[in-house]
Amino acid sequence: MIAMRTHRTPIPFFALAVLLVAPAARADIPPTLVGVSYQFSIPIGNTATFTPPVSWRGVGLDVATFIRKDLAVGLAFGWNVFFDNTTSTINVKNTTITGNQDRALNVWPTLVNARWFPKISSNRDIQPYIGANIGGYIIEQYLAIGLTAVQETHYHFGLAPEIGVFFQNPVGAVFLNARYNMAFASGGVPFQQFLSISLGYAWER
Amino acid sequence: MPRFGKDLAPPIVALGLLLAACHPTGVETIQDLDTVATTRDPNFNFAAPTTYKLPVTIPLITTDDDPTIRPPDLLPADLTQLILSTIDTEMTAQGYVNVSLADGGSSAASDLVVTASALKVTNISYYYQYWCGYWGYYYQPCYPYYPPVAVSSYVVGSLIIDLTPFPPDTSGTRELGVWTALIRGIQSGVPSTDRARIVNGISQAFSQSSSYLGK
Repeated sequence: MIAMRTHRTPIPFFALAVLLVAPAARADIPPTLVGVSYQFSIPIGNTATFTPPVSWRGVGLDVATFIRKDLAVGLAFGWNVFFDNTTSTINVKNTTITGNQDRALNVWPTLVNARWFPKISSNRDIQPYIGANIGGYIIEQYLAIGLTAVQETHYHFGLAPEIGVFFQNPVGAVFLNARYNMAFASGGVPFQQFLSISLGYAWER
Repeated sequence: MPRFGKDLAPPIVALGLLLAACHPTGVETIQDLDTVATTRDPNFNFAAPTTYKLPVTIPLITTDDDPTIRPPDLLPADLTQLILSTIDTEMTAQGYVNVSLADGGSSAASDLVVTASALKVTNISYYYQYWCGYWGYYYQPCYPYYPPVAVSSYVVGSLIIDLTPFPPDTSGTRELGVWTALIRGIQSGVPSTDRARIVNGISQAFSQSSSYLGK
């Protein structure tokens, strides 16, 4: 009998602890931000060699959770389309080909990130931040010459430093950021770089 | 705040996806599909040969005929003349001497022999009418009407030019080309345009190879 009492004692204590701690824990859950954005991108390096024009086609989806008042971690997804039509000559080993070419890069960034929001004023209506992204870029490279097309898709490891600013309003926040995307070489597709500028809207969820 | 954000998100995402989904293609005319490809034997010393000979005819290879049953037709004389004279001009511009012209071409030896052939492929597309309107909605699936309401065919013509050292090889039984040009898009049915495309294509083939062909 004594032994049985000894075993029962922790259960009410545990239940009580859960009841007491749970509301406090729920209150501490940081707000989650969801943001969608339009993006345009400036190609750099090999990306600019393959598709020189600025990409006006891009979209982004961001999810972020504040783990501290000034620090958020999150996920960033996107889709950027680079395209060029040119008549030029390319060399492949000992073969030279001249013709009208359609060139396209479809880039899908899949990144995790951390963003630091320094306190610059008391009301935080305008809140700049700096961030760092790491993850992968799914890049589909397409090249068509005449009636012949070559397409290959690879997953590239990548990094992307980022700066931006949130303009908060009573119903959410407009944000503007610049992200320098660097996707390392993979599967014969060389190092890719582009600067994406995002204009979007974020809200709490 | 969440309500406003949720209302605004779908149009932003839709707009972005719409913009991202746009994938323009640059092909506007048949000339946009013209292609000139040249390839070479990297082990061949192009500095050595100085003379060449031209053929007098150009075979027309089609998918309709079996070359094992009967030999291929020949290109019309005017087109043959245009192609050979353009090749001659380009070879001369690269610094080679045409020995066919020196003595009628029968006895003079040349370092290179030029061969050319035309390839004709006819592509046919069929367009069917479907009864997939109002009634097709109720009676799935909808089938195409036969026969097809429209048939389009287009001819894809290509010119192949080879440079082969002479004598061909030690066995004398094979031709081992050291430079090949494939000029795609020389026949669209508009003779005046096609002639310009032939000349431009041949010129481009030699132009893009001049770094090693040129003297």
